[in-house]
Amino acid sequence: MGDKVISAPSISVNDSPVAIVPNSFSYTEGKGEQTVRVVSTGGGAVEQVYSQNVESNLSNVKFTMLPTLANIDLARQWKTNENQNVLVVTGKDGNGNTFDRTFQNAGLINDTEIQLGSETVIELEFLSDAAV
Amino acid sequence: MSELLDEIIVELDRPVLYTPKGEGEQVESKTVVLKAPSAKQLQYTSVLKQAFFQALSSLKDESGNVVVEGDESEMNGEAIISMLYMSNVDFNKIQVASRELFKLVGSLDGQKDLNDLLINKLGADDFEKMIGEYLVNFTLASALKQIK
Repeated sequence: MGDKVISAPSISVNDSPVAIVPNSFSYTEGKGEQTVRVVSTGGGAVEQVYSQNVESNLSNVKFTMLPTLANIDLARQWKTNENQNVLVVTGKDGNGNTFDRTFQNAGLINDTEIQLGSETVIELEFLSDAAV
Repeated sequence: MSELLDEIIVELDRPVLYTPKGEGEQVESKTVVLKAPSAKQLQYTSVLKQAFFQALSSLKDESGNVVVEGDESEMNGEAIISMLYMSNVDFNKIQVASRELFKLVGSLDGQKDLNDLLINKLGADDFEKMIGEYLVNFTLASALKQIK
């Protein structure tokens, strides 16, 4: 049986399930950015120097929701919580293998724009501790 | 038999992770606090009470007696759950009603109200323990005093 994608994750914020727009969820692991540079002792000999930019060791979580009254209130509450939110994403691939990530100390960082319309969405972006 | 209480605390064999309000990290909960029911929860407590009496009725022997193992003055939650399972009562109805009831009266560590997501994290044995303790201490508290 071949590998299958995880396409319908379940999201919860502060232990409450959240209904999101399908295919809108994305995250980064929070391993940050690294650089690889070269040093040379001369004569064509080079060595690699690897460094971690710990400033970027945060997870970035994004998803969108529909502008229902409940969701508008949720986004407002998450913003009020500052960086005291916890997001959990779980999912299964088509072969039944499970997946989960937890994002602690998450803050809703974008100035959430609420577009009220029949085909509009609320876009949300969180920064949190590196995913566990 | 216990006197009427306002709430009971059930210790969990399998702790559950949850996010306390105002905190950005998950903590482990080892207890569930269950409050006494009011008339508001009657639609669920009545299901539990009826199930218990139906179970009693189905377990009567030829003499009309129900024999329960152990100290009959100490009908605890575990004994009640065993009795329900031994009877012909549909336990699924009990667990469905209990789930809805606990969402109204239950909280982790007395802080985080139970919802479906948190209840799904509870161990099966812990959930059954909650049902048993709730029956003993609240729903059947007065009825059990009359049963010998």
